[in-house]
Amino acid sequence: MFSRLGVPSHILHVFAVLGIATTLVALRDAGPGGFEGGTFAGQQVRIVVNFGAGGTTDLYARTLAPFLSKHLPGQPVVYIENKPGADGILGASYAYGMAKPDGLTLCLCNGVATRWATRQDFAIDVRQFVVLGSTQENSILLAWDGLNVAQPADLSTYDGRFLFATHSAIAPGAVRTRLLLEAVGSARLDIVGGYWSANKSLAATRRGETNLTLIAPSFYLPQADQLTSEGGLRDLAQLGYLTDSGRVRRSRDIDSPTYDEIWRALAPDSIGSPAHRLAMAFYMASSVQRLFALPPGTDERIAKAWESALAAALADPGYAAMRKAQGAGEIVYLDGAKTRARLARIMADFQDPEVLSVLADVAPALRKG
Amino acid sequence: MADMLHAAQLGFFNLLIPEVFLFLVIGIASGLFFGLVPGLSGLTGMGMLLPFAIGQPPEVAFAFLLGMYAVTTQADAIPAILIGVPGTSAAQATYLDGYPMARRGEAGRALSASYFASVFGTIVFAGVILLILPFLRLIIDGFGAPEFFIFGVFGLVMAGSLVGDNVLRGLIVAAFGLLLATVGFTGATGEARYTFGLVYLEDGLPLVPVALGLFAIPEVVDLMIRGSSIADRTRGAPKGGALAGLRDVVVNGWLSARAAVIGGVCGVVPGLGGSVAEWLAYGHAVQTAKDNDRFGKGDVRGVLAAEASTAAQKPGALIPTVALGIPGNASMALLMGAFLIVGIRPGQEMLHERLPLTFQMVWTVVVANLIAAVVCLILQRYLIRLCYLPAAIIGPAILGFMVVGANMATNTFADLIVFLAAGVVGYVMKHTGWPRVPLIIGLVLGALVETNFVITSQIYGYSWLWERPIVLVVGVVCVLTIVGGIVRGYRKSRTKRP
Repeated sequence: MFSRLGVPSHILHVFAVLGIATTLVALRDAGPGGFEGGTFAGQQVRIVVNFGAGGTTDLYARTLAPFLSKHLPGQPVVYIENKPGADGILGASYAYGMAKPDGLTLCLCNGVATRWATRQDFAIDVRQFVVLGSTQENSILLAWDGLNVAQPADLSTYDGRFLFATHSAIAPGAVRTRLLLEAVGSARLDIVGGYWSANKSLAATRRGETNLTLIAPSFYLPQADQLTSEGGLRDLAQLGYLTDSGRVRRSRDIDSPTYDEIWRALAPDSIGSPAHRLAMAFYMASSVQRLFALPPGTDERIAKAWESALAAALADPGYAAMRKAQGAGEIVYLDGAKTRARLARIMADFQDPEVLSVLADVAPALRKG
Repeated sequence: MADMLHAAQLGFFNLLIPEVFLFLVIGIASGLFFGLVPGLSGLTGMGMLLPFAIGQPPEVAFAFLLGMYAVTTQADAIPAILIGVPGTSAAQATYLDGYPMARRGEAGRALSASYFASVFGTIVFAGVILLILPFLRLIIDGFGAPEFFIFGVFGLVMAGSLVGDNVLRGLIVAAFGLLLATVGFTGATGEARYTFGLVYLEDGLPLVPVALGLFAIPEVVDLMIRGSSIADRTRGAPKGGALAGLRDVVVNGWLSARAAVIGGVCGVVPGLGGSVAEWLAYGHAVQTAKDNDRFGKGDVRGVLAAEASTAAQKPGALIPTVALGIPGNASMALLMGAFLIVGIRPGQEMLHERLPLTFQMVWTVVVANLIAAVVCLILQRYLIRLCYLPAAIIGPAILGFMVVGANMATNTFADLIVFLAAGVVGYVMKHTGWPRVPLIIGLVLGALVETNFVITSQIYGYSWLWERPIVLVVGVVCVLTIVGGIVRGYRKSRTKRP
């Protein structure tokens, strides 16, 4: 028919290939699978990671994958599928709305709770995931030696200009640092966004282009000596971990004070203020930083099998040994029930109008959605 | 010095241990795959292979990972030359001269030249490393946001003014590429631009579907309309061209060496990247050639300069990672993760107690390139036959391959839409005489240029314009390049007039 219309057969070949390829992409997720007879034996299970291959989230997932395989019923093959994009939203949205709830897809969704709570353009309700658990993340505040800020108390007396290197002006770590410095009455803080990786922030701070940055312990701890002795940096503070009692504690690996300790020591009068409540809301959100979630609608039986396997994998001595070899530091795990409880708290904390008003002041772009 | 030579010797012999060598070969095979398949890259490969390196002794783990990493740029020249589809931003300049060579039946020569230039480039820069090691910190610290900005601009100016006959068009297209690079979140304010509410666009336009669409679709459509093969069959049977390529490298050894040093230094400075390295070297080749009329139309010197620089960038990026714990690029950041996993701390230890291992890594990059070149040369006679396959077979095959590659960006349908849209734009540009390469370079370097401009303004105000010598020198070279291009174009247009 088309050749009668004068369409060359070569062109038809092109469209045929495009059609076949498009169909294959569409059908890629179709097919049998699941949790037949209470086992994943012979199945292929994927962990959807919402950041690209090679990042810290990816490395975290790849380190954990063999131990999940070991502890899941039937010991299926566990592989990683990276779905990066939009600061982790594409991957999370995929797991939320497109992946089949058959137990063969787990999302390791990094940072979605904070984004869900703080941005207006976040289209999914994280609470609708079948949440298996989460791990908390800490960060270390590094200062350039040339800054002459030797201890946290100096933050409030320093009269120069703080230049905070980060990937984005609205990164939660940057916003939390601004909140702290404003609370303790310190000098002007300029958040310098655009350093797209921790390496770039670190390099800028090492050469004195900026003078503050916040990095993950898994990145800092293995090279701490080199960064501090040769690199011209010092660890000034840490975010710390939120405990069940609602207090913030230091990491077992780092002795510098937490943001919360500094706040309480240098600005005790502002405890309980909207700004402090916002800081604590951020603590709550980051306490479920790396969320392990199955697509909404996943069968309860499957969820239980997964939750047990996840807890066992994280507690596996082999996994601990590997983390230790990586120098990755402490890991704080929250089970499904605790994670779900915190997710419920997060939205309530961030919906407080006074808190939202402070957030709009310190990070206007966040509230624009 | 004697210690250093002894360490170099030990490092080389470590590489010959059977287990180490076996993993090196596996790494090389993986690297050729990751380089050859559009949408995959050395970074993807590093992420995927890292778990397999965990638990291995350091000598084995790094032979494996670096063997893979070292050869990806060698392999990505193959689709750029053979089918005119540069799948990565670092293969754009290679495509510029390599593909015209393939079309006139010199695919073998172009491929061979690219392999030998890669090997030569890594060897040259491996030697240069010894000389610059004492100044490493100085070089790295000499580059701040203003320098990154001006080098990004330089890369854009080179791509814009050296591609095609019309400088103005090249620069306009490069500026359009910059504009496309503004799509998505900006780090400076955290605000989304030109996303039209689409989550897909928040990270910006993905490079792979744009690059593949821009080049693959127009080539395939033209190929199908012509109904012939990529290479002109009337010029005779396919030739291997291995020796011709080797001869080109020997004859142009000094050019290749200079390109290698340019690429290597770009690798040493974290964040500059393969595109800047490639365009600096390509621009240098064009500007220093007495007869530069054939650049962009199939001049083998373009292939040599581009490939020698991108290959030398690899050992360049390795050195600050090993010696200072400052990764030269994202792949090196991953490699640093591997260091930590196997219990090695980058830094002074790597230049003293573990110097043999450091040398082993440099040898790995050199030897991997050499082995990959031999493998590619053996396969060459079969690879170049692709250029002689009928359009009805090769056209749909290329397209299918590219669709899969394009879809690897985010694994969503939107990748295919971007691929098709870029294809339409590419087709129009190709047939209206607008160069496509500057658009990709604008898209790639846009983030580097804009981000560092904003950071520079925020931190330094205006003082960077006169206080930073590198900025001044490169800025002047940029202006001269543009003026030179305009004058060249003007002279050409005058000589064309009757």
